[in-house]
Amino acid sequence: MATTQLERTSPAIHTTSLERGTFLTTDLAATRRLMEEVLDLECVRYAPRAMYVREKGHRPGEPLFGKPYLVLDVQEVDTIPNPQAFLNHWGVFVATQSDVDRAFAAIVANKEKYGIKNVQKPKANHGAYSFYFDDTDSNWWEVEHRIVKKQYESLRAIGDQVPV
Amino acid sequence: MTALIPNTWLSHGTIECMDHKISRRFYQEVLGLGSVRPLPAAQYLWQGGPWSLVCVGIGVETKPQTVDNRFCLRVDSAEEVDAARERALRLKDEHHIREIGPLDEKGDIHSFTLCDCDCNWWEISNVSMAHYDEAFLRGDVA
Repeated sequence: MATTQLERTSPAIHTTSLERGTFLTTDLAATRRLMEEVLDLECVRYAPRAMYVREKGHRPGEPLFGKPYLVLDVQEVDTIPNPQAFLNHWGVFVATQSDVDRAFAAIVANKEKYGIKNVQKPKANHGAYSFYFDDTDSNWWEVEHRIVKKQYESLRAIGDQVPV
Repeated sequence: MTALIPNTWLSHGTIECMDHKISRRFYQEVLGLGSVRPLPAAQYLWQGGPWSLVCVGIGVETKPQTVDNRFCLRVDSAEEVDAARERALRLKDEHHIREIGPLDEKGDIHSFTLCDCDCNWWEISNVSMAHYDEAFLRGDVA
């Protein structure tokens, strides 16, 4: 086994959380529909042309209240200056492999309604069973399922399986 | 209304790197991220939560990103942001950092951005989770 988290020296920047990622849209309302009505995420518009997105369940009294979450920060612009590519996607996790197949069927059936462009067929790859699609603003999304031993926290505990 | 894909959670974002070894050094030694490489194509980065940032090694020049598509890392205080920027400036050449933006100060919140050797953009700030909690509780602006 090669380098692991335990062998690290003190970093130059003492970060405590990877807490937010950002992307652009040309239509905030359309992106919100995609986030809420397709991906089941929670949105809030914090400025006229900007919104935050997170998974559901973090409000007071809900099961995930107090636990950390990843935030997507979406800014509305008139044009996308740097279209994104397949390898700059965002991933959402679902509970079972069957959920991935159901999600694929739902996306295909509702492509036009939600401005979805390309939809790739589900396949097993890099430890996940998943498929990809992109929206009208070139933002790519992966719907994935992983068995427990291939989930991100499990892989962290195992350490490097390929030398760096 | 039930969503088409119910009960999801945000699991990862994705970036590219040209060389895993060079980039991992930057992620760990400068940004303080955890990194594990479970397969030849990718290393998985993390800090502070179950989600990951998947870094795919492509072996050639990466697609340049802009600051509009960036990943934001939190530190504990405004003073730590200031110190982080100073340290980044000192390490700029050693880690092939392409650009380090000016310090942005909005009241108690300090931040700056930097562009790494693979042209991925990062933001360092002391925005706390309470900021996001409050935004979601407050609801949409008019």
